[in-house]
Amino acid sequence: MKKLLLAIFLIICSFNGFSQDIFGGKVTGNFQMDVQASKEDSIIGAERVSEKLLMNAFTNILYTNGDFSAGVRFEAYLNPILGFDPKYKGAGLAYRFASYKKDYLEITAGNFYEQFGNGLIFRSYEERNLGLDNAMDGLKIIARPIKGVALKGVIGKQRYYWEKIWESDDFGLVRGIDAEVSINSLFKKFEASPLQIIAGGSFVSVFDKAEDRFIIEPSTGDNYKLTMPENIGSAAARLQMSYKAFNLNAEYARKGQDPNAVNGYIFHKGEAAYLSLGYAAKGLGINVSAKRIDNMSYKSRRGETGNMLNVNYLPALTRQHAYSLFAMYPYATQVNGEMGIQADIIYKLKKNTFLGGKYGTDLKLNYSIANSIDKEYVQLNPAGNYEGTEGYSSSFFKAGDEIYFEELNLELGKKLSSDFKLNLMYSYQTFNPIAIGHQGEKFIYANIFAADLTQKLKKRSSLRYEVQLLLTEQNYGEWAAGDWIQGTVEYNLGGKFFVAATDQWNYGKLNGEKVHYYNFALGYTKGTTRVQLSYGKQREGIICIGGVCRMVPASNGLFATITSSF
Amino acid sequence: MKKIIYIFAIILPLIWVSCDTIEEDQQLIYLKGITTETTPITAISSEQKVLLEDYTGWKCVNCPRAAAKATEMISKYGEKLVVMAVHATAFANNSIDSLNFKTEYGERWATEFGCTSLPTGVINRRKIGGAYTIGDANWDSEIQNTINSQKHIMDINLGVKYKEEYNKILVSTENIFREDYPSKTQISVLVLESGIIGVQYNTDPNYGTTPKINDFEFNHILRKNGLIDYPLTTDKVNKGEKIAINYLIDVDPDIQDISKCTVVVFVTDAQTKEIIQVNEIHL
Repeated sequence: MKKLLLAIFLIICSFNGFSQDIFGGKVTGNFQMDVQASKEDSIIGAERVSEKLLMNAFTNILYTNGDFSAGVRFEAYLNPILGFDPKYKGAGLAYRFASYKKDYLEITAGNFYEQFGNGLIFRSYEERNLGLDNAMDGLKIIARPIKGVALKGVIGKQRYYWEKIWESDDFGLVRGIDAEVSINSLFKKFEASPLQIIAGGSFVSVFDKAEDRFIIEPSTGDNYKLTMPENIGSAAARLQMSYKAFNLNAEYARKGQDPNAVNGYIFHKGEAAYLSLGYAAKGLGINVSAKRIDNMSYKSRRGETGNMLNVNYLPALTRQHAYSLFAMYPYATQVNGEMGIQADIIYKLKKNTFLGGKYGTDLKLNYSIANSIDKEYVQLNPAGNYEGTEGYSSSFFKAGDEIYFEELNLELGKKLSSDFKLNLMYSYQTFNPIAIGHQGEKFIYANIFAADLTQKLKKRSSLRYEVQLLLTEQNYGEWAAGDWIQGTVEYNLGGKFFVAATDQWNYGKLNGEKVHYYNFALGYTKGTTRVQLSYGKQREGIICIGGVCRMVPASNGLFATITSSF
Repeated sequence: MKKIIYIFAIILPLIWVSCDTIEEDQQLIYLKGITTETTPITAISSEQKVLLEDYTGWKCVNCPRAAAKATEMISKYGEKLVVMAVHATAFANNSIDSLNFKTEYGERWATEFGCTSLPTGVINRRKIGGAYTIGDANWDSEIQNTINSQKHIMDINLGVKYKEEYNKILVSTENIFREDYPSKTQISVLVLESGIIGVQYNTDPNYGTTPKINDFEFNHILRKNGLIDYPLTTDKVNKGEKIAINYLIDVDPDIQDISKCTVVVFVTDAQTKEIIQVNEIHL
């Protein structure tokens, strides 16, 4: 298969200038390169970079011809930019596949991404900003035997940096099936019904060869051995319904015994429930979501603790922030146990009304909370911990005492005149440092404000002014250093050229220097190619996308990005 | 609709077998046999040794040839070689003279190392040419290769005593690391018995009567109640470190003469299962 794909790739490359039409098919692709040069800065904690220059790059080449498609992704980390796992170091074809559709089947061989339902038991995906890629390598079959019915089957192993996953039993085999039925498509008499129903179910099993694991009773030296399940199964059922302006999305999942490094090698079975109710009408949108997670870390290697080799995905129920001070203390999914709810209300005040003004006003209100679950711990093992035991029991509807994250935020977007648009945002956050590994440390309570004004200028150009303020009484040092203020000025010319200056100032820091994290950026876009260059300081922190997080170390220097597509 | 039924008919049985459940009383198993009682160390070793596992069975017609080869190897390599005869697979079923040499772990190893066709051998549980198994014709060269190439990481010193009052064998071990070792290691303590006379099938007149040898002498027979893959080191171990552990083994009731028994102890890498060192001591 590798040779076949390589041959396809070379044939495609042999055409001058990447002709887009080859053998009646079409070639498309994209490219991105990030280059970083950071110097040592003891004040912000930026470490010396021996290589001086670091680079991450990738290019996707995709060939499609009717029902056939094939593609490759070449990646290079020479060496990985700061914050990316050094295990990425190297270059090569990280992703290759061939796929075709015939009759009611769609078959993919090689690498693929896929998701069952909301991903509670299976989601293979890539999130480049997190350095996360759990692409499957194997086979995927999708069957649509009749209208309204889709069956999916997947089998393979997951990517682990550049490791040769097929040469080692150290990487588990993932098998899964999923069935989804659209009632309205299946039965003609419901086709035109305003009530739309889609039901689905899935099953996933991971074969992970048993490892020997022992515990020792400290006073007698007696040894005990854990009996590991090698086939870890999980199942989920889901329902999607919509009726006029209302919609519902619900899924419930169970996972079998899975003692692993994340849950402390306990045998307690996993459970996850997700419910989302929505209402959408002109000018008003309401969404309420809830979830419960209990011991749902599901990986294809039981000793793995990082972001790699995740078989499933647990949706985040908090707002994803674009303003940087709002994302300073981000929510991270607690896979060992969490209950959460989120309510979102979007309302548009009409034009030419007292409150709406001439252009109308957009209001967004969001509230979210993530709490621990109730856990009744069972008897300790002979070594004095819970390894090798059931761990705990938990009542489904009972929340624990600990808050992980809570946020109330309000956003107001208003066009003030034909030239000015204003966005205001306020957030109150309660943040449990457990999310960044500081178990048992004091909480952060923060009031955060943002004002963002965009001014239209002549010749399709614009100026944007942004001020953010974070106020907190908590001032513990490195990761919780009091108040911050940030200001940004950005000039944009016709969507082609921009220049921006930002300063993020930790003026409330009690001990040490009150650092200015300044940054200057400029970018140019022509067609589908964009070049961006920035220079400045990056504070140490954590970024989270969908509740999955990565540490970002401090840096001071140049950063350049080139993106292109064809 | 038929297509859906067909697809599910294929998939559903696969689902049924794709989930393991460990009963609560099996989740944490007590590893019996570790004791604070000691016996003096008498078998001291300071050289790299090799374990030859001779997978055999009384119905295996070419196994007398392999047994003779094993004896020849002992003569040639002396104390550098430890031989263990693992009676396994269907070739070792239902002996006509009621001798039962099969063990649960022997069967498991035969499957794990791909010993389906007998006779065959496994040397230090290392893969050679992509497989663990080596035909008896190649034992000599591969033993020599292993002795030459294997890094001398550690030594195992042993002491042994038969505790007649409770019919157990007390084994004291001293495991001394000559080099840093980065991985977890495990130790196995086993009892072998020699000098048992029984029926063995045979097709080669050079090694005895055909089609069977009625008074074949079985040697180095792996016995039941061994202690398998017990933890020795659970983290990186440093050069010079000495780990002393004592074991008590229940005597296999099938053992005919305790004075003809040998205790074999070997240490493996917990991840690769490769044997790092082996030693033996006679009772």
